[in-house]
Amino acid sequence: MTSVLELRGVGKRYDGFALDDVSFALPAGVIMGLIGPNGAGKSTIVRLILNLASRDSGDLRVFGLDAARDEVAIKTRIGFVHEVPVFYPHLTVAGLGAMAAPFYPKWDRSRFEQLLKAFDLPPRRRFGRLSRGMRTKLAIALALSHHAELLVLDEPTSGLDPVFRRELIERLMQYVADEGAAVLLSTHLTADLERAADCITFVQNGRLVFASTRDEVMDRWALIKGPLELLDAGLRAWLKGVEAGPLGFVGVSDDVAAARRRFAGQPVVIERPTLEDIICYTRPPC
Amino acid sequence: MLRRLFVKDLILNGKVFLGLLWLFVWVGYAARDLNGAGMATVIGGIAATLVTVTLGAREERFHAAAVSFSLPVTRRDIVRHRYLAGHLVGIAAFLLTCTLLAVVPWSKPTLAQVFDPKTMMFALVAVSLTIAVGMPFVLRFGVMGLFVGLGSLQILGLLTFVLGLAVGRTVGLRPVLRACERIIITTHENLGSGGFAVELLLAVALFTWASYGLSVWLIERRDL
Repeated sequence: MTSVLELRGVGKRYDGFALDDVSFALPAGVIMGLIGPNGAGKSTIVRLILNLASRDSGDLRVFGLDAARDEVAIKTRIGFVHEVPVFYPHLTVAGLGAMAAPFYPKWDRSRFEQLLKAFDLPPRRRFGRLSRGMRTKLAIALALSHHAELLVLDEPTSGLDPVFRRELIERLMQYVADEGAAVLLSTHLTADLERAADCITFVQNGRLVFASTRDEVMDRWALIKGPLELLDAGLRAWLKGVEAGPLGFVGVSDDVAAARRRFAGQPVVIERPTLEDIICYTRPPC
Repeated sequence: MLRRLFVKDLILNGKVFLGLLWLFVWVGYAARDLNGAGMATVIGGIAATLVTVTLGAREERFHAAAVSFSLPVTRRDIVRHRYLAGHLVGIAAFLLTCTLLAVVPWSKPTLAQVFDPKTMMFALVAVSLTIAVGMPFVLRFGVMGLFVGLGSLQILGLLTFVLGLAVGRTVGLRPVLRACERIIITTHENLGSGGFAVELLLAVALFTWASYGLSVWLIERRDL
């Protein structure tokens, strides 16, 4: 399958944070969830894709083109939503559409108007008078109105009510089905991804933990609960992450088969983890 | 691409440009008292240019730069557009002021004063230098940076003056300025008015080109 987006050994250094050697590929027609705790490097990856920041190392290709050198050709085919959609407060919803339209050869005015209606966005309302959720909806409407082949969405569901979050996920799935587009959905609200994402890329502390299909992740990882007596140094080292409490330990492993072998006949419960379990239990100790 | 950027700036900053109308109202009102047209027309051009130069900083003020820079346009194009728009708006404002002074019935300056070639040349140079000096400053430090920079120069001048008084010697720039004046007068005499104008325009174009290169360098290295 052709990759719409491909990162190979991408690195970016800031004061106090470094994104290091990140590699993954996003094929066409796929929704990829980019997950990780706050400050993991998700937004940095998004900024590098949109060439809002320059990478220090590695290769970043979108539609087979270099993200920095061919940015106009690439961005014409990308729809984006930023984590905090901010724009001129005096500009109206319709005005923002009029401002964006000339930049996109495939701008679909009727689709934009349909989306405004569907999202209950009054065209004459000023941007500054929109709530956080409405601003995000407007950004999503803009991203979906020019037949983008790649949607790069940075925390689009934060600030949205659960009903619209569900609607948004369904719209994205429909969009992928209709347009054959790829979606990179950066979020820490993992419940959305468990329904929609085909692939999951997990970053933590600027490093890639895994990039895999959702089913592989869910089938491979295990949530393990057991008594404290079992939690020795060897087990702590073997688990990918663990938390100990008065009632026992809860940890995760990225090898469910090995976990079953290791704990055979022991008073241990092995469950299928959620993405949130994986993020929470693998976080580095404070 | 540049046309799209013009449309974008017009949509986003239409009211700012409309605000310039006050300048023309003032010129129309003050026309009866003006002794010459030069100051009013050149100030008109510079004011309009400054407004265009500060549009980028306005984007910063509204935290809208990330959205603008995510659109399919290169940063080099954005800078090129700002330089071009600055010149066009500045020259348009200058010509509008000239036209106003020419048509207002109570205008005191004569037509020859209004459409004086030297004033036109001065306006063009002033507009270009305003952009060439202001744009990199605004891109790097914002509008406040521009004002802080100009304020710092004033303070530096004052300190130099006070220091000169304290030590009993003037450390002013007068000898340097005199030397520059002599060079300009000699060049003018040697080349004639036409040659001097060409040389002046070339010098301004070179300075603007260097400023443009610096602005592109600054904006391309900026992470959002």
